[in-house]
Order: sequence, then structure tokens, then C-alpha cells
Amino acid sequence: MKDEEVSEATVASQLVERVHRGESGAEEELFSRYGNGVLFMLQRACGDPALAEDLHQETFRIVLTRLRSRGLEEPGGLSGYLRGTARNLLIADRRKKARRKTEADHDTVVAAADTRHGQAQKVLRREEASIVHKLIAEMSAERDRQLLYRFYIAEDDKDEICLDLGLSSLHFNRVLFRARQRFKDLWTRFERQQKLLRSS
Amino acid sequence: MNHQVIEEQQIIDRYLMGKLPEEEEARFEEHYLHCLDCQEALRLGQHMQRGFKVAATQELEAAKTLRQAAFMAWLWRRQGALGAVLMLVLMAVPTTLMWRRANDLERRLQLSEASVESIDAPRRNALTEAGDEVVVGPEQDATEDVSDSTADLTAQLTSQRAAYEQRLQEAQQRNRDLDQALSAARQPSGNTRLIYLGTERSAVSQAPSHRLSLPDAPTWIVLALEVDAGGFESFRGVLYDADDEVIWRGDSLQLDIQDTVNVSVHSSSLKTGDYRLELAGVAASDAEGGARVEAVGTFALRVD
Repeated sequence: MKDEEVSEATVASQLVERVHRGESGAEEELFSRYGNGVLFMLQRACGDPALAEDLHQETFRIVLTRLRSRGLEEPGGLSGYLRGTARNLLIADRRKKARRKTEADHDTVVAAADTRHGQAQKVLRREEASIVHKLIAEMSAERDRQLLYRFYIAEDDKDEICLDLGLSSLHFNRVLFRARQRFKDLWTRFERQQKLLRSS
Repeated sequence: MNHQVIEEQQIIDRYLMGKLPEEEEARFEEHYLHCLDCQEALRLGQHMQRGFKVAATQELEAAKTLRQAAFMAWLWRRQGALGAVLMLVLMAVPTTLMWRRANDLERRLQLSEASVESIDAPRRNALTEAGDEVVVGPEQDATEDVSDSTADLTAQLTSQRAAYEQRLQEAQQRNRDLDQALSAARQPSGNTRLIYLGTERSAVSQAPSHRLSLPDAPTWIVLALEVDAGGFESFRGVLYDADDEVIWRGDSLQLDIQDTVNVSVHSSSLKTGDYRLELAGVAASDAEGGARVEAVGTFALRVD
């Protein structure tokens, strides 16, 4: 076990114990530590923000009920328990919908969707593409541009790309790391501007 | 799972692309549930991957347009036989289609004109001009005959209509007069003439002993017929003028308490001359069911 994993297991065990004892603030701490991660995982898995939110709430309701009553047999595996509960709820929801066969018509759902949300999404998509254009424009080596295109658009494997372009694994990692850092800078700047616009 | 491995093996990007093996995916998810750095990296990674895909789509569209423009420019630059031929072919296709369409329309127009010609030819032949004189054909004669007949019929109908309208007006006038007379007759009136008539012994041969002067204003005149006969259930009377024309005929006439049978005559129905009224009594039915009628007398009146 690596240090990070040991550390996580220890923190999780303590949290489980504190929640089981009914310690004040333990449940909020648990939700604060794992809440965003569980929500991201559910959103990625189901692709429906509203459903992900519902399942997220239900996951924590079930887990906290369990921790209050019985605790966990392996308290250090709290992350795994949370993940398993969330996944099981998602699978159960899919089975329930399959039985009911009441999937909404996609066009109707799109038409009924909040247009403000759609506009915000469009702004995000435009900015994402704009930042990528900047990234590509800033790259001096055509080979590095090829690397990014093949990895992010064609989704080719790292080994294949390196072989085709005659790159080392280290060079590949370095290019990706720099691209991500640059994207992070530009994106952070964009988010800051958005916050300023909203606050004004 | 630690961050060095995550970085070296592009775990975040591969996770977002869905390219991690199931076991590795589970381990990474259990890790990032509590790792804020990885959650941030995942969020950025999502934006970046979407950005690359949208950017690629935009570039593809731009490249497509650019390629089309470049192709056209290349054709113009070449100025060679291939370019010219290609341009000619490109231009010839719509031109050929338009030319064929025009031919088809021309052919249809000629067919239509031929049809119109076949229909109008007899009519045009009927009217042939010779200098200023117009030679009238049989078709036009027939047309003029029909026109004349129509004009005559119209004139007759107009005349008849005028006559009917005249008669209608007269009838309406008579109706109005009658309405007025009826209305006047229904009004109570004084000075009613009452003339007692006794039976004439020989009314035909002698002048009537009773005389009546017609009043200026029309009015009712009561002829009180003095009857000297009993045993009748009712009486029948017939009024004749001087020409023995029946003016009036009445049945079921009854005696009043003064033993008279009263007959009302409007002065407007009388004119100067002698009148006689023959009265017959109707007795009760006999054993065989038949009525017995017996002459009672003749009453005479001279109108002056």
C-alpha cells in the first residue's frame, strides 16, 4: 500500500467511526470530502445532471444510514463503499426505466429544456474550442500539434502515436503536461472573467 | 493509485475517453472520490477534450470551404485544357438541360396553337372580307335570325308584362274600392229605407204599384214582403230585373213577428227599371221525405 492509500484508509476509518458514534460535524465532513467526487462520477456515468443529483443524494442517504446503525466491516474502504452504492443505484435506476419503458422522447426533452442553460453551454463550448485553438497556435512544432490531435481527437493510443511520430514516452508526457497546464491557465482566466461578469 | 502513475499513464484522459480497463477504472474512481486535485484535473480534462473535438469540427468545416475555393482557384490558374474542359462540362450540363426544357415548351406551344387553329378555322371562314364589303355566311344569317327572334320575343314579353301590370293595378284598385265599400257597409248607418211590398195580383201585366227612388249615397234598402200565408217552415225568394234576369236568390227566409219576410238589397245593385220578387213557401217534409213548395205571391217594385 502506498502512502496516499494508507492515509486515505486512515481518514476514512476515522470518519466512519465518528459518524457511527454520532459525532457532531462528522457527517458534514464526510459529505464535504466525498460529495463532489461521487457527483462527478454519477454525472459521467449517466450523462443526466438531474438524475445524477438525485442518485447522489440517495447514495449519501443510504451510506449515512448504514454508518449510523452498523458502521462498515472495512471502514478504510469507504470510497469503495460509496462508489459501489452509487453504481448500484444507477444500475437499479436503469433496470427500473427499462421495465417501465417510459423513456422520454429526446426531441421533446431538448425542446423543453431551459434555454438559459443551453445558452450557457454554448458559451462554454465556444470558449473550450477557442482555448484549444490558442493552444494549437502557440505550439511551435508541427509534430506536437499532431500528437495532440491524434490523442484527443482520434483517441489513438500513446504507444501508437509515439511510434508513428518517432517520439519517446517522456516527450509525449511532457507535451501533454504542457498542453494541460496551458489549457488550465487559459480556462482559469476565462472562469475568472465569467465570475466578474456575473458579479457585475 | 498515486498521482505520478496517474500523470505518467494519462489515467485522467483515458478515463474520460472511457479507455481504462474496468479494474483500473474502479481504482481510479475510488481514488478521485476523495482527491480534490484529480477532481479538478478531471474537470479541466473534460473541457479540454470537448474543446479539441469542437475545434476539430470547426477546422474541418473551414477546410472543406477552403478546399472548394482552392479547387476553383486552381482551375482558374491552370488556364489549361483540363480546366477549360472541366468548366465547359460543368457549364454544359445545366445549359443542355435548359435547352431541352425550352424545346419541350416550344413543341407544346405549337401543338396548342394547332388545336386553336382547328377550332377557329370554320368561324374565321364565315367572315371573309372583300374590299369594304362584308360577305355574310350562313352561320351569321342564323345568328341574326336568332337575334331577331329574341328581340321579337322580348318585345312581346314586355308588352304582355305591361298589360298584366295594368290589369293588376285595376284589380288592386277594385279591391281597394271593395274594401272601402265593405268597410262603409259595416259601419252603422241611419235612414235605412224600408219599403213594404204587398203581393201584386198581376205583376207582369201591370206597372208596379210600389216605387223607389235610388238614393244619392249607396245604402241598404229593406224590402218587407207582407205575406198572408201560414203553415210554411220557411220561404224561398227570387228577385228578377226587367229582363227576367235573376238578381238574387234566397232560401230559408223566415217570417218575422209582423208576418213579413224581410229582404235587404243594396242600392248599388239596383238600377232604374222594374223588379219583381217571387216568393214561395216551403212546407214540412211529407211522408216520403220530400219538401212541399208552394208559390206565395209576387212582389213588384219600380226603381226610378
